[in-house]
Amino acid sequence: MNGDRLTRLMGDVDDRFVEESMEVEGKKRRHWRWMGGLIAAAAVTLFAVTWDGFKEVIPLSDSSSNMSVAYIDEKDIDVGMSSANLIEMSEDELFSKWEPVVVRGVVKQIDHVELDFNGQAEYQSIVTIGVTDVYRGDIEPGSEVQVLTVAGVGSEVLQSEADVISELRLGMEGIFMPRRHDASHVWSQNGATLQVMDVTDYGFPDGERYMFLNADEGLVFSRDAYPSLRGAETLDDIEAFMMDRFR
Amino acid sequence: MDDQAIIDLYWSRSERAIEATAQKYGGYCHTISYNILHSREDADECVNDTYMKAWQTIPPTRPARLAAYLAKLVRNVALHKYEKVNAKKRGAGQVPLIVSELEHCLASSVATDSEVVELLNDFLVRLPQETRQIFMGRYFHFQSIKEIAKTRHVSESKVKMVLLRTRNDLKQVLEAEGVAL
Repeated sequence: MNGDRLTRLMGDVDDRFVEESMEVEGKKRRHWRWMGGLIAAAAVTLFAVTWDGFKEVIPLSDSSSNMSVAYIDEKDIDVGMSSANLIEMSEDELFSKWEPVVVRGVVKQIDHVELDFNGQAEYQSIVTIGVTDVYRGDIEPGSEVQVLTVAGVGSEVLQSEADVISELRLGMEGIFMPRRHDASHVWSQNGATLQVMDVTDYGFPDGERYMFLNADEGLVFSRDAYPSLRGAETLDDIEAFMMDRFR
Repeated sequence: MDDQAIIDLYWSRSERAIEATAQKYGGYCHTISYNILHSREDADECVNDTYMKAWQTIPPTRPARLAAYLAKLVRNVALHKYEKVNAKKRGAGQVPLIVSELEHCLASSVATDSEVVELLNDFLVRLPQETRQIFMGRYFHFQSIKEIAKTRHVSESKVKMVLLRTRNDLKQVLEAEGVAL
């Protein structure tokens, strides 16, 4: 009976140990395979790429050290479940804290990258947005912006705190609020340092609150984060709000 | 939706709370429930019961970690169901194996449940992270050896060895604290 008791009591251990051991899905083993097709596709990206074995590597500046960033296939994304909670911010703080640009546009491309921090891998996605309208910021309509964000955008990979961006798909229209990376955006981990703007000029601070998506099932965004927009039903409703706020 | 927003929905008694919980943590809860019960129907039923328990307990509870809170709820609900279904026989799945593995760690004791849990927490915090995750995978989440090995990219023999050594260490800790008599 002591085994029964200990089994039961294991259910009362500290929450942090429970969260730490959570896995949304089993991690996938990496399968290296010929990726010649991907190389050709990458040649048209805005990044200059160099050939490193089976991966296309994004060149980094001297400000980054002990690490590499490489494009990978969607199937090679390998993430557990993040346990981090979003920092609570009011609607005004969401617009002011990072001073994000606010643009309307269409998702032109979704890429996935592996960030190798001195042997410790992290995964992110890069969303390329074709900008059609600008409500805030110095981006030109007709230009494209690349935005670094949580892993697995547009794929089956699950991440916590990324419910909205998990709905994002190629060709989808939306209103996006990426923040511009500058020299202060440094990601340090495992003795390695990434100057984030080496990878993209922009990033989403989280996968929930910085985009408004015109999905098949309707407008998708974090309604709880924007009390002024709770009644919004279309992207045009969001646009009217942004124009009123920023023009 | 972030956890705080989901908890706010519970506090405002919005039925969207359950919808949001199911969307974000339904799969996770089902996995724990299924690991214990090995029946999809029973696991579904337990997950639904878990949502109801969350609805009944939030408020007044405001969980600091919603995922862990739900994990503990569904674990308890599923174990109770398991005991009910298998009251007179040893059931299938991981539960009898896990109970058997832990049988010798804790002998008959006068220590209270809270005292034992406190010792478990002290023991877990001192483990290397990988060892702790393997131990929790097995004894909290009821994962099979094979599943842990696959998830963590290690061999099954390594998982078995880690679990054996950790159980032995736990037994020593409990004995040293006078819990195992």
